[in-house]
Amino acid sequence: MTPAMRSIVVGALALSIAAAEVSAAPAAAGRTTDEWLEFMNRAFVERNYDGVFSYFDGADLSTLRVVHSIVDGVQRERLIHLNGAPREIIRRGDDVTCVLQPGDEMLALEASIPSGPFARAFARSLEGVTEHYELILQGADRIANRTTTVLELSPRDHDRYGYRLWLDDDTGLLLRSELIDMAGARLEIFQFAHVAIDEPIAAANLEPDSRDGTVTNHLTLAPSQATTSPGTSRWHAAWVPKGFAMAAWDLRRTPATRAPVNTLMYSDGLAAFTVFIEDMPEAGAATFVSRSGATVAVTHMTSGPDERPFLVTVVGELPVDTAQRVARSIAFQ
Amino acid sequence: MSSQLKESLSAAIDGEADQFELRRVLDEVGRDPQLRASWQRYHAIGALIRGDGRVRPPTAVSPLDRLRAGIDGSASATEALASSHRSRVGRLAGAGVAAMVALGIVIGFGDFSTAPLEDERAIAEASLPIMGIPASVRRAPDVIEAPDLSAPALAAADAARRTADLRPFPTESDMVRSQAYMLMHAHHMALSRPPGPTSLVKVAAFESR
Repeated sequence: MTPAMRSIVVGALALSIAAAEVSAAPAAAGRTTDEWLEFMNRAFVERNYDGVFSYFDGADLSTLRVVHSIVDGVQRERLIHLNGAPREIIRRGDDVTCVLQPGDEMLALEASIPSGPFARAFARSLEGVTEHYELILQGADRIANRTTTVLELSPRDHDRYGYRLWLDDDTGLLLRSELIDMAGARLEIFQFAHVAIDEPIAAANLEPDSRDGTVTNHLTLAPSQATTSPGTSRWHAAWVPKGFAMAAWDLRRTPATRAPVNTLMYSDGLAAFTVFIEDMPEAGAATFVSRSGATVAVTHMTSGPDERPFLVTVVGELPVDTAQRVARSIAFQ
Repeated sequence: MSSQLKESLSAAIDGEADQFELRRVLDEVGRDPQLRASWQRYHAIGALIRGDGRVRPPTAVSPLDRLRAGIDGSASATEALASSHRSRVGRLAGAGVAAMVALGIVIGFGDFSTAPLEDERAIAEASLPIMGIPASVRRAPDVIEAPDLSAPALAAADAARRTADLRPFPTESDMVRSQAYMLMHAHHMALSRPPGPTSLVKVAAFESR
């Protein structure tokens, strides 16, 4: 039996047990784990919703409002940070705009990272997810006063984290998620406190608030996306966890020095990490590990063309050991 | 060591503890050898990061002794430690690195390049002891200097140069680079296809530390 078939059988068994034990809404009954994932994915893109949610990254708790709608076939989304300095993120299709206030810490950081359009989108695909995660239906729960079905994605190895998803029975919308490490600790929590689904969204609710002195930063895809393609980068990871593949790569330049930075993006369909490769800074660098919530950053030094020293930084939602192993495997062909 | 004690220790070293908290930490440091070792280690890190340049061996008058003297001799001992309030970004500089270590934002440093790929145990042991410093780093040179990356030096690529480019401890520029790449990773996720419900969240909720 293939892992995928085994997963389907296990999922079906779990579903039958859950259905027997729990009084799920009629819409939830009979869905397999795969169908729940598909249901969730469609809801992300197709549903209108307007709600307030909390996001805990292991250190900080943020409260945000999200407004999502499809306008003339284009996905529109507005995310408003409700605490601290006003900060909004606006999506219009592939164009993402960060609306910030002067003095926002993000501005200082963005000034030091490569800017400009991204050559390729970071492609996600849930196909094959069951090979690397065991999908289990965990029964019913109530989130934001709505009935949900809980789907657990438990990693089959120690190179990725697990997920627990609370999916709205009627619409499939994700109402709560947890990112979980091998010890069962919750690294990140996302949860709606209130959400209105499939109700009309006023156009004004998709536009940013106008404030004096706002600063915007656009994250966009380049018009000609095919300038590069996976496999053409001469940098690569000689080792990545099973199921991870290069989803995109890009060559950009830092604003200050115009120094090239290779970026390689890998994903297993759910988890993702990005590898940044640059010439060793003239002032040198330290190899170290830092963490922000579930996101870890590992730096490592390697040799590149002409035996020149290069600095490798691996950033992603990965266990530290795994990120280190990826960093040490980065090589130039 | 409890996380609360770590934070208090860090605050004391960063000069941000009030007198009550400072005295409590000093009492604990006096009782607990492990805590005393952490205290000395954080001061060593702070000295390196601030560019004092030299890690001094323990002397008869240690930072702990000076601090005790300060408490006994003035109304506000923390003033002696330049306790101006720093923003979270400001914490990237100076002895704030001790705070970042204590808070688990920096969870290890040192060269982990020598462990064989196949030996996961070696990776774990050789690389990043949480709250600890590898032996190789403890033997770091007293004075930190910017490595020579001139053309002749690059031409002489060898194992010695590989280590010469590496600093034993992260500095402010290292931390800013790391944070900036975390933000850029969040940007990548925001442009993922198909976009997920939380793909923009990491950008919107991004906090530099």
